[in-house]
Amino acid sequence: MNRTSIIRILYKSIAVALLSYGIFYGLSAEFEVSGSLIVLKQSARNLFYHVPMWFAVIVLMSMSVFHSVRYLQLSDPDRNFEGNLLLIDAKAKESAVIGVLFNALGLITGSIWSRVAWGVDLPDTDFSAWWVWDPIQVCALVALLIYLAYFLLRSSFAEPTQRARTSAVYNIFAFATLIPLFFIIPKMLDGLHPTAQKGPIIFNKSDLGNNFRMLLYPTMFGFIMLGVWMFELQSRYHSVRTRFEAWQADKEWESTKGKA
Amino acid sequence: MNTLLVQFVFLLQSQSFLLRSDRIYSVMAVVGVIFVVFLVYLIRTERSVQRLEKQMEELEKQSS
Repeated sequence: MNRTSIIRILYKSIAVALLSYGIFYGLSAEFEVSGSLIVLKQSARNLFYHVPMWFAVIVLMSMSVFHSVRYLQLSDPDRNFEGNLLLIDAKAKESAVIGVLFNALGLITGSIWSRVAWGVDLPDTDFSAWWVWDPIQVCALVALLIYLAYFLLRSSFAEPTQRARTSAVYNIFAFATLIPLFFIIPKMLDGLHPTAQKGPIIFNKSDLGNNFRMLLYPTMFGFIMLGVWMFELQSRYHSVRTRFEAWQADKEWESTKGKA
Repeated sequence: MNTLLVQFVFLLQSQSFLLRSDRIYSVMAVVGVIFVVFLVYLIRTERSVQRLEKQMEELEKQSS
């Protein structure tokens, strides 16, 4: 067993352990809810599942933009890169796919949370029970749409090199929009989240006790590692498929040559 | 404990469905099962990819 395999097994085992701990203990443990968290009641447990999603999004989108930049660097003819450039482009796409999945899960868990915490008196059919137009909520939706446009852009090109180059450039701009959307705009406006300008309406970070932090941080790392695991599987599968297609093309060429 | 669980399960569905404590354990079990099934699926996919990689290496060796 080589070093890469050991690292893979190790981080995946850690991910499973952290997520099992976060999910099962996070669901069943008793928590004292104090300070401003009282408003949230026991729904404050959603911190263990909702917050880590966004950390995973940032990590996966960073990986995606890293591969896009790498693609653009290596596609420079002066570099004479001999590897498969399209594989790097595929990695950029795969990490964006997983990132979008986590983004959607973050929106869903946030929507359910707002239903329980603020829309408790509203009927299920009322849209405002599920969506409170919080600045960060809207920004997260905009980020999701920006990345969906990335996939749409990719699908509009038939030629692989042109698709890879154009989408790599778009991906850099898409990632750049995440910075104002996640870190600047929510801080400039009032809102429910702890990052809001005038302070959070619902809870302060200082109200998070150590019992909450003991679960929040492990699940955060657990979900990030889960995202990396999913990305790794997708890119390895893509790599095998590319190698197989190349092998098949070689075989066909050899047989055609033999016949000639 | 039951009260805490009732409150928590609000995260998963609307209250009307969850206010009965006898359903709480079922909902928790469903969450647990979904998690375990997803992990099993991920591990199986991992093994499939490993198998494909080995097969591909063998094919490439045979060709060379």
